[in-house]
Amino acid sequence: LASIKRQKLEDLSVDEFLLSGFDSAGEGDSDEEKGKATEHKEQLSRLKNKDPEFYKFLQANDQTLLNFDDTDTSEDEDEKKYHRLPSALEEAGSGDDDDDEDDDMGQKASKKSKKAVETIKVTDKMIEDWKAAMKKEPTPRLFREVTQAFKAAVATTKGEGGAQCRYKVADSSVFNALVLFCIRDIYVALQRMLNLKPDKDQKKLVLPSSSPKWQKNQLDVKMYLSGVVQLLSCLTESTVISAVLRHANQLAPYYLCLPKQCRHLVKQLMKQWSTGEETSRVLAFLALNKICRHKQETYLNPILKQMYISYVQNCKFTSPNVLPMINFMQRTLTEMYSLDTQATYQHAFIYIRQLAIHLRNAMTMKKKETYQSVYNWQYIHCLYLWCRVLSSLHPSDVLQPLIYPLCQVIIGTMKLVPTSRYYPLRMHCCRALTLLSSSTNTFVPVMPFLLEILQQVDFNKKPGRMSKKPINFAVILKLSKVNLMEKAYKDGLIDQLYDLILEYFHTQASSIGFPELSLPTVIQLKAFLKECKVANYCKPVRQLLEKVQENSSHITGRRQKAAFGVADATAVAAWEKQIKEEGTPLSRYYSQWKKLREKEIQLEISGKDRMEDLELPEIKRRKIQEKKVEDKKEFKDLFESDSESDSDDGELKIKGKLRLTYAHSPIEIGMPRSFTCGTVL
Amino acid sequence: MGPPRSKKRRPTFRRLLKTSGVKLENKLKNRTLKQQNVAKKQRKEQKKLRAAVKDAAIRTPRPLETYRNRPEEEEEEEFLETLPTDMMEEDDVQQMTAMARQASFITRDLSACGPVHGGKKRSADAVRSYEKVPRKMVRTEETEVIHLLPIKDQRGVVPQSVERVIEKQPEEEEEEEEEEQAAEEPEQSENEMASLTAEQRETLRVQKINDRKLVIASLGSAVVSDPYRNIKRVKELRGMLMESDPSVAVTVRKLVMVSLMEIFKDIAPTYRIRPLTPEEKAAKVKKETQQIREFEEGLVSQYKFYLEDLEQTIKDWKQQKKKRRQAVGFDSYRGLAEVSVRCLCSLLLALPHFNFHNNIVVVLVPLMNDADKQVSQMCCDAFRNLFQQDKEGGASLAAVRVISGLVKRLNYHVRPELLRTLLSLRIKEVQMKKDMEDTAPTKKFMNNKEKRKKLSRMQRKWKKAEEKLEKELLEAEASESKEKKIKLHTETLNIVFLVYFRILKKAQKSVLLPAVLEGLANFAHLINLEFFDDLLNVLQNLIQSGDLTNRESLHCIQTVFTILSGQGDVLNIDPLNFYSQLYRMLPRLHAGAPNDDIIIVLRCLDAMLTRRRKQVTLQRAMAFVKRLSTLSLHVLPNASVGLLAASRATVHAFPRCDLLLDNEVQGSGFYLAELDEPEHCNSQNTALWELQPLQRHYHPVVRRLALHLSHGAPSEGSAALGALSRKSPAELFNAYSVRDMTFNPPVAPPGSKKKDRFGFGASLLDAELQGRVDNAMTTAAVATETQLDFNAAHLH
Repeated sequence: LASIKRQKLEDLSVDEFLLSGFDSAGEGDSDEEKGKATEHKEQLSRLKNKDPEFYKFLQANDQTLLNFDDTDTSEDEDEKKYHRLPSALEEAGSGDDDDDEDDDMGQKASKKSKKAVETIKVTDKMIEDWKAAMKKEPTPRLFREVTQAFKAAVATTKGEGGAQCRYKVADSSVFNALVLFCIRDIYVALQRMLNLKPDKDQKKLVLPSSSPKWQKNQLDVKMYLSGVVQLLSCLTESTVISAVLRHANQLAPYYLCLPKQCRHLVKQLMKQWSTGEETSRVLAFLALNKICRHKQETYLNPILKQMYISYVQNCKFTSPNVLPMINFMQRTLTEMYSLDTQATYQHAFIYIRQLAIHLRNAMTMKKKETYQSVYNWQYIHCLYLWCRVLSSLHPSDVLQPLIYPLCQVIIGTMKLVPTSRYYPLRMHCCRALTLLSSSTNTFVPVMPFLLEILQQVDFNKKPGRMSKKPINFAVILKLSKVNLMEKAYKDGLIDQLYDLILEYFHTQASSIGFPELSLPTVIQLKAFLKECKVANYCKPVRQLLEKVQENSSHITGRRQKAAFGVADATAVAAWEKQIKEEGTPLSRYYSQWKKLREKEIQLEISGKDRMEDLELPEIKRRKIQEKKVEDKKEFKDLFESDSESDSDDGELKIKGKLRLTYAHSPIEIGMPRSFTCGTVL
Repeated sequence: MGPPRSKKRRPTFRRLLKTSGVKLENKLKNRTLKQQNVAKKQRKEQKKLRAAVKDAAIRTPRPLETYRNRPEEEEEEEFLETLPTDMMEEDDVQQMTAMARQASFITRDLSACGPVHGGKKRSADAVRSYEKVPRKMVRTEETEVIHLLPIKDQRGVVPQSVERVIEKQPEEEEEEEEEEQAAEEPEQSENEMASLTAEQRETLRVQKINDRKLVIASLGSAVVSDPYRNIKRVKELRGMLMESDPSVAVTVRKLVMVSLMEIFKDIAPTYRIRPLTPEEKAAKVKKETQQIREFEEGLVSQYKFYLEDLEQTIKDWKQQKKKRRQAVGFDSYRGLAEVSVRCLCSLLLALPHFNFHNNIVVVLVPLMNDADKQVSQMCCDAFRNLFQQDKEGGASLAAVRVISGLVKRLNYHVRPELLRTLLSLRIKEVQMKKDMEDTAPTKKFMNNKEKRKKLSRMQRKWKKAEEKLEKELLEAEASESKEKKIKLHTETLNIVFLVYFRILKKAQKSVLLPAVLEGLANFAHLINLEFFDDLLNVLQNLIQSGDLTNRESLHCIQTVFTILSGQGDVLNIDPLNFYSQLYRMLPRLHAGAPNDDIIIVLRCLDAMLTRRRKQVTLQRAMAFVKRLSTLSLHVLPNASVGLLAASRATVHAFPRCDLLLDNEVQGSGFYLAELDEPEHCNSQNTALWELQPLQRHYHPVVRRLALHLSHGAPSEGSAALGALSRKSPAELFNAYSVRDMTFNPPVAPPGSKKKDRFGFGASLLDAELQGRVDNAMTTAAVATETQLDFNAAHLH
């Protein structure tokens, strides 16, 4: 199939090729996120006509990717696998004579079962015997028996495949005992059997394939590992899952030697990482991390890709309960991205560009549906994720260039629909920018967007209605019209603005340009105090103003005494460092405030939980449901286009082109495919 | 001057001049007459303009409402209400009187058609008899064709799709029509059709339409292939506009309208056709000439009738709207009218030189203000294009006249878009002091008496011949056309300013103010000197009233400084107030506000600081530089780049600004950042520390500019700008625009080829996460040791 496509491509003229390249580039990027393929294609072709500049930009960036890849041959090979066929993952391991062996094994097993027609029923006694024998001396023969029994036990969970096994596990207590025995003792037994020393230094993993006995036992190990994966897939109770995951963690070196089993395991781990209970999530992440760390060249890229997709899939609804999970996923993803910054650059580049393309569509189309493709939780969480990644991996020459596009996308997102209903969204963006700016020591203008809120909202106007409950800005993107009339809205707004302004200024408190940075804010806050008649709002604002002014005059005073000029960057840096160490009025106040605030939040959370148990206000619930429906639709739009394109020939053609144009980026192609598998999961 | 008495007396060189003296004389006379007329008119206009502005300056702004109550305040402006016929050049007027006035398709007095058209009587009658038919007909088929129109609208390609080659036309239109037919409901209430099934009716209809199309195509191709002989076919084709079969009427009419439009575009000559004088008619001519004359005659009359039909369609639609809002066939009317408007618009653009152009203008201008957004949009676009492509200036002038009349008639209750079309006028150059010179009577170099005294006869003759020669040379060079163009432009602009000044005077609170201020800013360099004083006062009052938005204030300031930087530099006014205004406004223009305001700021700054460097104090310049760089901390990156470039230009204009780069105190006082007076804020005592955060800006170009500025904007060395320095601030602003989410400069490749190392060994970056991981491991280990129940899985 692929070769046919290639030929077709060859027939194209250069221009056509470039054009189609652009088309498919956009297509591929947004494939997993964008809806109805045809519609989108239309959009893109329109865009292409409208803006040759962006097209050029894309080309330029492709070029950079090209150059980049040429130097890194190890990854090239890797890529070829991904780009050759849609079922790249399946294909990747077929180089080994893995499947043949599998078949062999199956045949042998069936022969055996034919020989011993009657299956042996496993009893508690047998398990005890095995346990004792294992303790004494694990032999390959014994291991094979246990494995067979384990396989039989696992087969019962499937319901049908039990007929082929030598053993039969009928009793639930026997099943329990057998599985427990396996996950407790098998690892140690295996290590002993293969004569593997426990690794002395943590850094290097001893692969079991290095053992001379590996060849002999490979089949049994393989069977056992498949059993564990199978078991993992059908468990539901969290403690049990954790136990098995821990076992899988131990067995990670074995999995690393068997690509097929490893792939199955990764699938299961991915499921646990994104949807499991807390402990299982952590353990799944640990296993994934281990796998990537030790076989980066094979697993890192596909796993990163899958993790990102699962992340996007799983962050479309946000509530106080889900927020920690999303947070966890962000942090663990950051860990994964820290493994190889070169690969991370490519992932981040492509995904940030994808976000930019969505935003661009929304900007040019100016329609409600296209706004929706940007103004949703998935988009915002993605922005935040990349901010987090770039901040955590800060002094990195490789990732540094990505700060610029990310900032631009976030600012563009804020400016897309700057109405009061989307203030919560704007605040999320401001938080992300503050994080990014403070931890990468980059200057990003954030204040204007906050001041605009202060400017636009009339705080003097009496609220139209009283509300029972404060609005939790952390879990909403959009305010309803009713919300805008509430008192809680304005209260919350002042609170949030206070937090955000303080937080931002805190990150800039020791900058030598602080007085200039704060000038518009000071002017604005003074104007606010002059106009505002509500004492409750004036109080925090006045406090904020005082602190900012105090800090401003502190910096002004200090820098007046400085003996260097504006051009002397090193002296300025040293000066700023010194000021930071000494502490400024604002930073002192901030740390004080932060403590209080955290306590408050803790209280709020616990209080909220209680309240939510009691009664959920009607309005809120309705909103959530609405959002769900909306999001579902969006989600469909975002992710379904790929499966659509499978059925469609024309689409396939585009995919073919895409494959060539992006042959040098490792992510583009495999991802939507593997993603389809993901949804089937 | 009598005829030459003998050949001897004539100087020999006169033979070289082929034109007879009489003819030249006549021409000259005509021209002076014309000039006098024009000058008179201009003087009148200037007077009015001046009056308007002066009034505006004196009067306090009065809300629109008060004005509305007494609209008949002035009579002096009545000339604006008159039809465009009297605004044309004399020869135009002649033509119009001959052809258009008698049977103007505006007045639609068909019985009074003059003797110009040969077979006109019959056709006029025919038209009149048609008149009744279509309305009735449309009404009968109204129910059937309701769904037909949106499709047509959506496509919006009808005029384009019909190509010159008319043979192709049916095929091209077929597709559209097919869709229309498909959409159309097959039920028809006609009696004759009642017996047929829906499907049969549908096929019948398709067939009918195909037949009609074939007819249209054959007629059309006949005309286009040989217009001289087949001009009569146009008439037949036009007859199809009265298509009476209700099942296909709307479709066929639309097709005919569009086809005719294309045909006229194709066969209309590149000159204006003028009616024949009786003498010319009486004279015998060659056969070919006769044929051409017939063709021209036929063409003009057919074109006129065609335009009348289009206008009538639009009128019908309008009246329908007023009479019965819920009229059944409203949609089909609307569709027809839209097609007519579209046809008129494209004729407006395609045949600006041809007859009846003014009439088209007169029909379309009121539609610019139509309640229907689509129609008004279409017309506004058409006029905008007309203004942009009009090189002669005549068509623009006519349009502007009508627009100004409309604006006044409607008491300034018009859409701002209408006024905004005026921004597209292509006026670069006008006769600036024209009115001054013209008011003084022109003095000749020597009048006849002096000549007679001082020169000998031979000399006089030489002189005369020379003058004649010069005149002919001028004509040959066509330099007259340039002069004429400038004259037209001057007149156009005068009308535009008249509109603007009137609005400034009477309707300061109206929605049109932004458009007016923008227009003034746009054409400020063309405003005549004598208005400056009053205009400055008006703008000053406006800006100090505090009612203006940032953008409007910026437009005011831009206008003021454009004026002052042009010929206004002789005025020697120090517009300190406007400096303070801009200075005060700057902190409000941060990224929360619309980003486009910054481009106006950049234009203002160029005029205020760089061009007027001689009149600006160092204090003021430094205060501006400081505030600009402060502002650049708070705007979007392209605005930052623009503002920094503007500071750079200022630093270059005032080299002493390098004080801002040292950290030394000069003289007394502290810098007062919040004070809004650039002269008194002690800007010499501060430094541009904000350049430090800007050097950490996320946008690479901002970083570069900040570094450049912090080193005192050197032209060479490591901090030099290179190619960036050659662009003006406004250009930079546009080059780095972020409006379309374009990334300029492109995102850089990874900084290094090495992998960065994060974390050591198996430990994680995030300490808290590491803690959780360890925690989870131990819980899992503990769980493994305790009794676990796998049965949940087992029983599953």
